[in-house]
Amino acid sequence: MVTTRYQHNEITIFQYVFFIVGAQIGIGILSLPAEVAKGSGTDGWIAIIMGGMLSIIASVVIINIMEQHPEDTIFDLLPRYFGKWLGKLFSLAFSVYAALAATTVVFTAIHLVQVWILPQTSNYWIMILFMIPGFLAARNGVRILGRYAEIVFYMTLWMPILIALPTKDGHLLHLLPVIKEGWLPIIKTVKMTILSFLGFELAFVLYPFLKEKHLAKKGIIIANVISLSAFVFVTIVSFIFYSPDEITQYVWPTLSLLKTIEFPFMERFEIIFLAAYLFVLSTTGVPYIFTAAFGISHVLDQVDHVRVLVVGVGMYIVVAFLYNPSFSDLQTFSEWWGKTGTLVGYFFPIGLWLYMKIYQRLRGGKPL
Amino acid sequence: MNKQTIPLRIPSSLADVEAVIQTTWGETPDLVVCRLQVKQMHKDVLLMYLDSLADKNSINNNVLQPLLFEKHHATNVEDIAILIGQKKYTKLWPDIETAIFQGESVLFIDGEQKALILDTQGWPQRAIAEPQVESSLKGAHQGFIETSGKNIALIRRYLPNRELKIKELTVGRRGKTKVAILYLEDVAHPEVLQELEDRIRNIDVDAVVNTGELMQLIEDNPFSPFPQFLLTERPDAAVSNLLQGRIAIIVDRSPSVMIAPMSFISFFQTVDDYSTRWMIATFLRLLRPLAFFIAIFLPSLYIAAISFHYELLPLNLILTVGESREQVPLPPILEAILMELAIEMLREAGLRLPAPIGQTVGIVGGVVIGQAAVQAGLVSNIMVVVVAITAIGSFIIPNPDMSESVRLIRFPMMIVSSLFGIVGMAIGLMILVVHLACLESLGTPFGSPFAPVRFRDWKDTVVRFPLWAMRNRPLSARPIQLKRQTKTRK
Amino acid sequence: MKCTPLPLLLCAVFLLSGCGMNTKLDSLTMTLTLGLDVTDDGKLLMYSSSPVFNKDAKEHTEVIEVDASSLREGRYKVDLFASGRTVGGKIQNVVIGKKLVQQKELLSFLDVLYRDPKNSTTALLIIYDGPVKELIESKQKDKPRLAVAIKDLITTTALDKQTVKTNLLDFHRTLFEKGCMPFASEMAMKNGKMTVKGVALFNNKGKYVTSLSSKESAFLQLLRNEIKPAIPFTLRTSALTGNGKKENISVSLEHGKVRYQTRYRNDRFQFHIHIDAGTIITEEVVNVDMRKKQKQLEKMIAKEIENKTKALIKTFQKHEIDPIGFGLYARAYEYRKWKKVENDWGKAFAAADISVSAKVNIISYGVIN
Repeated sequence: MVTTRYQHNEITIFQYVFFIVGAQIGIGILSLPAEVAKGSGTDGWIAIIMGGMLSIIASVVIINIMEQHPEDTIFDLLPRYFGKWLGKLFSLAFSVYAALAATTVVFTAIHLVQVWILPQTSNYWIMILFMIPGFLAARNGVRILGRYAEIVFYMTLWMPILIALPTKDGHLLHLLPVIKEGWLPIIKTVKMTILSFLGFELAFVLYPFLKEKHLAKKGIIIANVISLSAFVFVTIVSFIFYSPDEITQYVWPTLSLLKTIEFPFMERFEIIFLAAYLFVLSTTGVPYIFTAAFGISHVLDQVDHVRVLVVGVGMYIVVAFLYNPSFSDLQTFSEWWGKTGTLVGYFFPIGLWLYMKIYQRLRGGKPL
Repeated sequence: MNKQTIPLRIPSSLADVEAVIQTTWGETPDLVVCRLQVKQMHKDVLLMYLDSLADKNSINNNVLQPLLFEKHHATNVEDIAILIGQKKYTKLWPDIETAIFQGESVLFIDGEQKALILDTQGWPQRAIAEPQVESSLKGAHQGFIETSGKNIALIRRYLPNRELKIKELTVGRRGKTKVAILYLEDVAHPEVLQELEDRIRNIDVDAVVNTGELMQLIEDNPFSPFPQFLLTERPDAAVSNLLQGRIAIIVDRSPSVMIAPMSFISFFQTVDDYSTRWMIATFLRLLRPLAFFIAIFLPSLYIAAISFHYELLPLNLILTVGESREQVPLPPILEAILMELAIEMLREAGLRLPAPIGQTVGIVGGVVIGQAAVQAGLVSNIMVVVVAITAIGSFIIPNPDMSESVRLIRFPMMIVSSLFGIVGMAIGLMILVVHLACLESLGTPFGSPFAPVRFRDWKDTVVRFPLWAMRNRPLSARPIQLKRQTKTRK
Repeated sequence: MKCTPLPLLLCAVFLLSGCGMNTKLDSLTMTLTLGLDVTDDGKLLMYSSSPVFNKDAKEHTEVIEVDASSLREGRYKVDLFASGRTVGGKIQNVVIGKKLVQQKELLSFLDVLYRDPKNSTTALLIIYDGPVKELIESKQKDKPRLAVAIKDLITTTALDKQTVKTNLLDFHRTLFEKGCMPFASEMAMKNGKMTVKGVALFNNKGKYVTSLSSKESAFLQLLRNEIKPAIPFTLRTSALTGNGKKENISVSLEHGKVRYQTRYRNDRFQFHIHIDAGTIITEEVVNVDMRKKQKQLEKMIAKEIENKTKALIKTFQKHEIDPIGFGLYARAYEYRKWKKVENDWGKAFAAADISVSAKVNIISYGVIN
C-alpha cells in the first residue's frame, strides 16, 4: 500500500457517506417544509428533488477536481494552483465560510433548545455544554468524526418512524393536484433548498482521507440521495399532516408535528426528539468546526489543528457570553450561509474545475 | 541492605561460601543451610534453601536421600544423581539469590565454582476452586489461582496446540513478578502483540502485586471511566478470548488473568452465552445493554422529568409522582444522590463483611431504605423504585469493572440532568459516544463494532447467532486468521 | 490516539451551577382544565383548575377565576392566586362558553396556546352550553378529578360516535384549511351531572354557527369517512312487520368505504358520495325472520342512511359550513375552479349539488336468531 500523508486517519466508504449525510441533514430539515410551502405550496417536494439533482452535479464536479490530486485536501490544492499567497487567501476564505456555517448551526441549535426545551437557561451555558463534545470530537480528526457520524446515523434511524406516525391523521389529498401552478414557482423555490443540501462541499476536505477512492463518486451520490430522501420524506409527511394553507403558519413544522404523539408512558415527543436531534445537529456543526480549524491551521502552517480549535472553541464561548442572537439574526445568518454556500458549493467547484483545465492545458495537458 | 559487597562469582571453597552466606543472609531464620557429605563423590556439599518456600518432602526424598545413600560413583558434578528433573548450573551469586527466593534449593559443592539449582518449589498455595466473582451456570467450575504455572496448565488443557505460544517477562525491580503472555501465534495480530510487549517492558516500578495494577500501568487511556482490558478468573473465558485472537496475560501471584485488546461490548458477554441456546443467549445479549442504559440514565431521566420536563409524563403519572413527592423536602437531585449513595454504601459494606454479617446489612438497608425513609417523608416512593431498578440494572452487567464504571458515570449524568434537563442528558450521551469512538485498547478501536460500525461482528455482539452460523472470528481483535470453522450444518 | 480527560471535563461542568429555573413538578400549579367565558357585559373570564398535591388541603383541585383581556394576561392574574408557578404544559381540556364563541372569533383567544411551544396542543377543545363556572366548579362525587372526568367522558363518547374528539391542533388545522371548517364537542349540565350534548360547528373564522345532536354526530363522522371502530345507530321503521307499527332496530356500522366524486358542471361543484357499508344487527325489538327479509332490510338501512346524511348536508349548506371537507376534494380535483372560490368556500359549498347513495351489507345478526 502506498503511504500517504493522511494514512493514519483513513475513513471507510461508509464513514465518508455518513459524514456527508450528517453534514447535510441539520437545521434545514426542521423548517424546510414550511419554506418550500411558502414558495410553491404542496409541490415543494419537487423543488427539493431538483435541488438534490443540482447538489449531486456539484458534488460530482468536486470529486472530479479532487481526483486529480488524491493526496490533497482543498487547502493543499489551492496553493498548488494559485501560488502561495493567493492560495492561502482562498483557503482562508473557505475556512471562514466553514466557520460561518458552524456558527449558524451552533447558534440555531442553541435557539431551538431555548425555545423548545429550556426557556430559562442562558445561552452561554448551553454553548459551553455544546462545546464539550464538539471539542472532543473535532480535536481527533477525520477518522473519529467519520466513526461518530456513522454511529450517529444508525442511532437516529428511529426518527423517521416517529415522524411518520402523525400521517395517520393526515390527508393524502393535500398533495393533489401535482404541479398546480405550473413549473415556474417550483423552479423559483429550488434556491430555498440549497441551504439544506450544503454539506457536500466538505468532500473538498474529506477526499484524501477516503480509503476506497474509486468509490468516491458513487459514495457522494449515495450520500446526496440519502439526504434528498430524508428531506422529501419529511416534507411530504408535513404536507400530508398539515393543510397547505396552515403549514406556513409554523416556523418549525416538523417539531410541531411531533407534539401530537402520545404514548401511554410518555407524551410530548418533540422534547425527546429535539434532545436526540442534537446528535444530528452535532454531525452538522462539528465537521464545519473541524474544517474551519483544519483550514486555518493550514493557512498558519501549523501541523496540528488542535491549537486553532482551542482558540475557536474559546471564542465561541466568549461570544455566547456577549451576544445572544435573536431569531431574525439567525435568519440573517442562514441567509448568508445560503448565499456563500451557493458560491462555495456550486460556483467555486465549477470555476475551479475550469481554471484547472485551462491551467493544465497551458502546462501541456499534465496535471501538476 | 547492601552493606557488604556481595561477590559476583561463587567461591570454590565451602568455607568461603559459608562466610558469604553468614554476612549476606544475617537475619533470615527460615534459611536452612546444612553441610553434608556426598557418598557418590566423597565430597562435602552445602545445601541451602528457604524453609518457607521450598517443598520439604521433595528435598528429603529427591535430594537428601540420593545424596546420602546412593552408592553409584560420580566423577564430576554433572553426574551427581538427584531425583529432580529441572536442574540448572550457575556460577553467579545473584542467580543464587533469585533461585532461593523462588523457593529453589541450591547445592554448593566443595572445590567447584558452580552451584546446582534444584527445583524444589513448594510454597503455600490454594487448591483450584470455583471462581468467586464470575460464577457460571454451565461453564467449568475451575478458576485461576495464584500460581502462574498452574494457570498456564489450566489454559493448556483447553488448547493442546503448538500454536499456543507463551512469552515470559519479568516486571518490577523488587517484586520480580513473572508475567506470561499467551497467544495463538496464527491468530493474534503481531502488531498488537508487539505493542503489548513493549508496554510491559517499559514498566519500571517496585513491584506489581496484582493483575489489576499491571492493567492500570499499560492501559491506553488512564482518564477513561471504562476498563480497557478484561480481568477474568475463568480459564474458559480466557480460552474463548484467545480463540478470538486476543492475548491473555498471566501475572504470577494473582488469580485474575488479563485479556487484551478488548472492545466495549465484550464486557457484556459471558461464557454462558455460548453454552445456552442461541435464542436465550440473544435475549440476554439484548437485555444487558438495556440494563447498561437504565443503570446510567434512569435516575437522570427521572430527575430531568420532574425538575424540567413534567410535560413528558402522562397525566396519571404526574398525579402519582406529585402526590408521592409532595412531602419530600429535598430537591430531586439531592433526593436521588442521597438514595444512590445509600445503595452504594450498602453494597460496599456488604462486599467486605463476612457473609453472616453481610446479610444483616442487607436487611437493615432494605428496611431502612425501602420503608422507613419513605414513611418519614425523606424520599418519595417513586425514587426508591427508580434507585432499585438502577441498582439491579448495574448488577446485570456481567463484568465487575464495567459495572463499577457504570455506577460512577451515573453521578455526573444525574448532576448534568439536574442542571440542563434532557439536553444535559443528550450532551452526556454525546460525550460518551465521542469518547467510545476515540478510545482504543492496545491500538484497536474500543467502540468496535459500533464505532467503527462492522456489521459482520454484530452477529456475535448485539445478538448471538447460532454457533454454526458464526464462521469468522470477530474483527475487533484484528485476528490475522479470520476463518474459524466451515459449514457444520447444511 | 489520546482522548481528553473526560471525567475532568465533566467535573468542570458540574462545578458551574445556577443555571435555569427549576420547574419542580410538585411545586407547580398545573392548569389541567382551562375555562373561557364572557360575562353579560362582555368581559372575558378565565378559569383554571389545577391539582393540589398537599395532603393537608381539603380539596384536591384548586379553581381560580380571573377576568382578563387575553389568556396570557389571565395567566399572570392566576399567578396572583396560585401557590405555585402556573404552567400550561399539561392542559387536558379547554372549555369555552357557548356565549363567547357566539359573540367572538375563537382563534385570537387561543393564540398563546399555539404560540408557546411549552403548551400542550393535544388538549381537547370543548364548547360548554351554559356558564363555564358551573362546570368547572362542579364537584362530581362519583367521578375522578374534573380534568380526567371530562377527558374520559369525551373520549369514550367519541368512540361510539356520539360526539367528536377535537383537540387544539385539530381545531387549528381545520380553521386554517380553507376547504374544511372546524367542529368541536359540546357539553352541558343535566340534573347536576355533566353530559355530552353533541357537536358544535364553526365557520372558517372560528365563530360558532350551529350544533348537531349526538345522533347526527354519527352521520357527520360517517360522511367524514371516520368509521372505525364502529358507528352505531338505531332506526325506527314499520317496513318489516307490515302492520304499520313502527319498531326499533339497532345497527352497528362496522366497516365501510366512503367514496367521493367531484365534478364541476353548470357553474357549480357537484359531489357524489357513495357509502358502501357492512353492518351488524345489534338489537331488534320486533320479532321477524331476518334471514328471509335480508335484502329488504339491507335496502331499508341504506335508505335510512341516505336520508339522514342528506338531511345533514342540507343543514350544512343552509349554514354555509363544510365540516366534512368537500373543499379538499374540490382543490384536489378541480383546482382552477377551486382557486376562484377558495376564500369564500362556504357560499360555493352551499350552492353545490350533493348527492348520496348507500349500499348496505349485513354481516351478522349476533348469536341468537
